Amino acid sequence: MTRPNKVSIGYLEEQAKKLRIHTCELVSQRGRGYVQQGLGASDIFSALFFSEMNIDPKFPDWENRDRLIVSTAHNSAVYHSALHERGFFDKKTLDTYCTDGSKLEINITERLGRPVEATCGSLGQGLSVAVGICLSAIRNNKPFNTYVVLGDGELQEGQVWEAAIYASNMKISNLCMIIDFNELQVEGKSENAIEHFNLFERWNSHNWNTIEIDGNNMNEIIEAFETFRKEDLRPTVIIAKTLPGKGVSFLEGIYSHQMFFSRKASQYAVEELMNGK
Amino acid sequence: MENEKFDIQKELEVLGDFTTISSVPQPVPYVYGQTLVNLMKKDNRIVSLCADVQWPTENDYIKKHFPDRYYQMGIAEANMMGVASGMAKTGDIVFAHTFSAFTNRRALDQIAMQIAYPKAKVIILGFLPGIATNLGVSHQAIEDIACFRSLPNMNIFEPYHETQLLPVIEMALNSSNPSYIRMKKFDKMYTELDETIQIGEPQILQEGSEVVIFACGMTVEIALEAASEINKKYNHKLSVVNVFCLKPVNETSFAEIINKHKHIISIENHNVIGGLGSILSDIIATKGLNARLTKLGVQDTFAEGAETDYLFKKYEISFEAIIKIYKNLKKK
Repeated sequence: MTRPNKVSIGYLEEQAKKLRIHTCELVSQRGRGYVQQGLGASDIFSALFFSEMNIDPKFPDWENRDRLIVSTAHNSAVYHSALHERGFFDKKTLDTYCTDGSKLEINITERLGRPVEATCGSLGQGLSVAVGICLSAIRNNKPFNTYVVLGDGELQEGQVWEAAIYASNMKISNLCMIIDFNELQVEGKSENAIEHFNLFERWNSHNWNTIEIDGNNMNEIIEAFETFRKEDLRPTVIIAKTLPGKGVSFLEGIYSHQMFFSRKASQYAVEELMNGK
Repeated sequence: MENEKFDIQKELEVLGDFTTISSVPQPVPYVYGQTLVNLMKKDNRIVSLCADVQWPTENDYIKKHFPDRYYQMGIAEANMMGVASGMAKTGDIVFAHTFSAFTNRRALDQIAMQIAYPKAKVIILGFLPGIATNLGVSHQAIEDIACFRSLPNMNIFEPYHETQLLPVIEMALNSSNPSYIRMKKFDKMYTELDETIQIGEPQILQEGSEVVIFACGMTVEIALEAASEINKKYNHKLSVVNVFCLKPVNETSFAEIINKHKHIISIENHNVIGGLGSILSDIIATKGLNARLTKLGVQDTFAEGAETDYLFKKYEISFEAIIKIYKNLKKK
């Protein structure tokens, strides 16, 4: 199986930059939100939406679409930006993000309809739903893949490990989990809250196809997805190390969960992103 | 790009060391934080557990004062409830903190088996009550009261005013049962305490005739405002009752109030199934009272994320909704 959209690394990086710009603007409209996580995950979302996933914005309900679940749900600015850039809705809709009555909520919900596959936000639930989708796809000979993005903080929820053991027992190789390893949770950097110890070994020992990458390096991201496609026995986990605030010099490395982010700060950020530093 | 003139600290408005901590410039007073810290000073047995919601539950204040008695539990509520039970069984008094939605939804089994059943000395604090959060359906607690009501041994409190916070916590501490306290952060530090409230008893805030409004938590102010408007406009004083204690309830006291009125209105920041309205309808039915109840609250639907004012209006947990009901009652 090859990736559905044969696009260049340069193009994907360009798309990631667009997602970063939207993310800054959306969060600053509200004055506060998940700007750090969005900037950190822009490369992953660019790769998913413009390279990896077989989806059609004209037919969001298409039964053989690849599925994506964003288990944290709060990484919504970058996710909704990706939906917009991929053609699921227009800029006017994107700009309603987080306003009263909008379906583009701060925690992604199925009120928006497809391609939202599950309403998460209560952390640690996305993987189990993804496992269910994969089992049904296998049972019914459906050819699609299922992707699920978890924040590393979610690994503190016990349910994730119930799903982990089950998934490898069921040999669901159509499942690709991306751990957005930004080490950022409400209380700050995870090493100051709850440590992960050796994540690679933990997943590997549960018999997952375990890949560790720099989640802000597009070459490594695409290569990891290719390794996933070749795997036919085990579920895949890509541990993608991402940097909060990636791409904007004065935001990089600030571990702030729901950061205050003014319009002025956004203007500086967008200017820097556009000029490429 | 030129960054010289750009004051990051100011623009990002993040308090403290923003490279490691995050997010929320605190509304200054730490009403809950100070209250718990004062209690911790007096009683060395008290510890605080928190499921990665330090700032929203004012546990940063507690951590600052008692770093050794503060436990960051991670994003792991079920584990937190089990740990809370273990500590309580070994002599500690445990305050366990998370958002309301993650108490019963994530850890009801652990609370039932390890806290309610053995009557462990645990006080569970649920912040973000009802639909009062823009974080949406995942963070909105519309069935927590219903779940905890049906758990034997649990107390449920919802203080509506800062002056009731410490009295409520003391009730929880003095009770032989574990407690669930559901509340919104208070934005003003109290200078006095409401010592009139008693566990299990409804608090009559104003006494009027014919119509009585029962409210709890955030809806109490709404009820008082609506009653005041009705008094002004129609020269009719209604009764308003604060149900800060949703379990246990002294049914006789409730029945006495209900018996003095023809129409009962309940207004709650919760599903109308299983919450305040259901408490009243249980009492009316089992005691065979002659009263008509109108329930305001979330009408058995999930809500979305939006500002609280917008949601309260949309889901008719509002001043306007009470006035509308009153007008309809007048017509009859």
